[in-house]
Amino acid sequence: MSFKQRFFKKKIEKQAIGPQDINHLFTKAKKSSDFRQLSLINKTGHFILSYYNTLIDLEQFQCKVLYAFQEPSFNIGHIKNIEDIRNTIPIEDILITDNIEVIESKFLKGYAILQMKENDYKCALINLANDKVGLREQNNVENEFSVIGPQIGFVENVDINIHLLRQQISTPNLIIQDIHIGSMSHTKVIIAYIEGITNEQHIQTMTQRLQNIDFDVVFDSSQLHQIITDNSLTPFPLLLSTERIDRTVFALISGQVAVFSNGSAYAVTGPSTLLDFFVSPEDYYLPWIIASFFRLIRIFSVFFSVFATSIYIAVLTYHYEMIPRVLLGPLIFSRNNVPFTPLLEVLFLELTIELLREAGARLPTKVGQTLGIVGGIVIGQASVEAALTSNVLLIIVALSALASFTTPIYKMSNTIRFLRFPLIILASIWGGLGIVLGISFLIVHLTRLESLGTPYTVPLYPFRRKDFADSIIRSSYNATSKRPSYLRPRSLWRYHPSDQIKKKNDFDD
Amino acid sequence: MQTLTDERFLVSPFFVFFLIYSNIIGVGILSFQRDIIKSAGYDAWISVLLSGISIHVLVWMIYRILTIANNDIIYIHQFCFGKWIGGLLNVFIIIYFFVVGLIVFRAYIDVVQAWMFPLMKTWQISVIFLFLLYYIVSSGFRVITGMCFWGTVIPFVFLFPLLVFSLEFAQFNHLLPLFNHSVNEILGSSKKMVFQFLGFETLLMFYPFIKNPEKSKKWAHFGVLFTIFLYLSITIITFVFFNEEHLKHTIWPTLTLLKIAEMPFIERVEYIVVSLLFLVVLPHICQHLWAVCRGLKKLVNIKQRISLFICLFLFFLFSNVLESHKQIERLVDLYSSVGFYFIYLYVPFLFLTINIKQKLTK
Repeated sequence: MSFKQRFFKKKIEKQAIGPQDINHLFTKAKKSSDFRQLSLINKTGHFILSYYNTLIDLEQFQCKVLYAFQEPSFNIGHIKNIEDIRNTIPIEDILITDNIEVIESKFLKGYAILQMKENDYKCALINLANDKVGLREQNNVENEFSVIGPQIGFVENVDINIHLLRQQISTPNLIIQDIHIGSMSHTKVIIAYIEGITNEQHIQTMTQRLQNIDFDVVFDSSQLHQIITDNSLTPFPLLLSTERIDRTVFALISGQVAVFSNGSAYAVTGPSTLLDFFVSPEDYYLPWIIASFFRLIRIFSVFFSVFATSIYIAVLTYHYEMIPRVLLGPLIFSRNNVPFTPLLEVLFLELTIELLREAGARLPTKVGQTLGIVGGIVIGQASVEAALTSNVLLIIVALSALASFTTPIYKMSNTIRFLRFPLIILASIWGGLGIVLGISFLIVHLTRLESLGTPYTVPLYPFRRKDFADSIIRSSYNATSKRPSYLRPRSLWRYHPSDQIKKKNDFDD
Repeated sequence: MQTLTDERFLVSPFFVFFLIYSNIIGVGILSFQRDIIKSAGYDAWISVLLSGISIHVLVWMIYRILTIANNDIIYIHQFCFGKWIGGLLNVFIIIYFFVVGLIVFRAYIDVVQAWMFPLMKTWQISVIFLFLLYYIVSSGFRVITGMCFWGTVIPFVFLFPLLVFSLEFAQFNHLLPLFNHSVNEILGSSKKMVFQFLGFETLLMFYPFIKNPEKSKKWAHFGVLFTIFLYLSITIITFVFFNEEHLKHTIWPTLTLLKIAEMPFIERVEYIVVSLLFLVVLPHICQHLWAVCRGLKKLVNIKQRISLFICLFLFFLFSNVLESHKQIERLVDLYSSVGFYFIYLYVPFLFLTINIKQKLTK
């Protein structure tokens, strides 16, 4: 919140910078070499067209604008007024205005400015923007992979993203609102929701928070996510960002709001809950029993990943009585030559794994894979042989790293790996008590958190029995026909499961 | 019905179950068997039932009082006894809540010192606890309720199944013959047992924070019922496990009992139990601290953050003054007799007063 307040203060200073009039704009633009200004009818001072040739689609410009003016049947007499341009140029998006702020922002987004005469304040803005250039063509899902199910994800162009969205949700109730954010970038940001399902309060909160943003360049929707989040003093992501279309569509039909930003392949959806981050779209494509089993495994792996190493420290440092006799032998054998305390041993290995992950994420894919294998096997094996760590710990650390990657959302899996470190420190100071202290802090923190004003730990606390059908387990489609009630949707039913209730007949009957 | 508190701070009636439950269960669950067996021997499980039933009656009474006033005890006192006497009573009740919180806090540290870290100084462990307490209580009643919820669910999943392990060595004939003790002896144990049920009085403070308080009545009684069930099962499991003389000389029978539990990958689960017991104790302390701060705010209009800070400082001081186990026990004895008279004499008295007062005003 304090973040926002600081931005508010700057807003007051910002106002003075904008251009005063159109000539002032051209003077500034003329300093750039890609700026072009020409007369369409070879008569200086009349029908002046100004544009950045790097922003516009040259083919469209030639076919539709130049050709319209230079074809033999063209008669200059038809255009008496600037409004008549619409009849001459076969482009639908032509805006006639004298508002300098609009002119500037459109001009910088690839519109060409057409003036009847030099120094005319009223001009026509012709959309020649070419925003498909320079963007990647393929839209495969890269980071939220699933084996079954569609493999298409979003791309960096917001219009294509909305197109993809509209393909799946074909109802006029899907409302797309756009606002422009960024004093430098004027990035097009889109708020999408389904009218009649999403609670107006969520839409209003989201819109309000986005409108309050003052920022220079919006590179990615995750930046917006950070600015509009309810509480910035938390390691937990309070809104869900995803590159998958099915995930976004699912969020929208459950009654959430989605935000897209131009130039970002990630949509931000909210309000989201803690459990949303452990749901994979694949859960809905597999039979529900299998899906529930894997979801349980995913949730178990979160706990394992967070607590495994700290429990190791607590037990080996303070509560060695807890180790059963049969297990004591192998542990002593494995730790016999290790000269460090369990804390140092764990920190050493945990940091190694973090290094490997960070290096793997920065390196090109092919090198990264090799490094992962080399690093994992060689460093692990060597550190055991050099008696820097014990075999048992190596297994635990590797497993907990593996477990943290089962979380489908990358941001959440980072959080989980981060949470280990405070717990490791606490366990090394107070043993089991320290871990429980850490758990208590964690629970209080989670209970305090809110996502767009909705409690973060719902449906666990506040407890909602009806929403449990699709939370820790994924029940069959007959049981998940209602939207989650904590989102307070305007209509509760997603679909009506078939009315024929299967009665259990006696067998052979 | 009109509520006095902002809708945002209210909790749904269902959570009264957890609030009541976690306020009753405290450190006492580790040691109560020893106190109750002294008088009624192996028949003491009847005492558990008896005192539990009396608590149901009291909860009913408290609900009657609160429904008439539709406000908390601070208001009721001033409504019934005028500004000065009511104010004095309020000071007493705030001190009472404070002392309860302090006792539970110190008693838990005592258990930690006895079972986990014998050399640990009280101030060291109390400082970090106080940080946590500040963090919880300053987050408001909803978060405290959340802690009650988790403090009920997590220990219930991990701790109570462990009791089953000791059934391997159960001697069920310990319980026989039934009714081997006089009524007086059983009542004597009941009196001891009442102490374990103390804590539900915070209901008098948090009542205005319940959404549709009428509906919460059911859940409050369920909460009490559930604690009776829990106490009863622990009592019976302890009785069939321990010899009577042995039990009389065991300070923390529940923990001794749990030492039996053994799993292929873990032994000596009492370390886990003592650690996880923190989650049981925490909501208990938080509730009372919150009640103190809330009471002070309504009484002398002092900011809750400031009063919370002062309370925690006093917690720190007093918990360091109470160094030995004997001192703690003496304070506990004092508390148990004050609490006994508070709920069995004062609550019915208040019940009568408010009923008469209501008739008079009509």
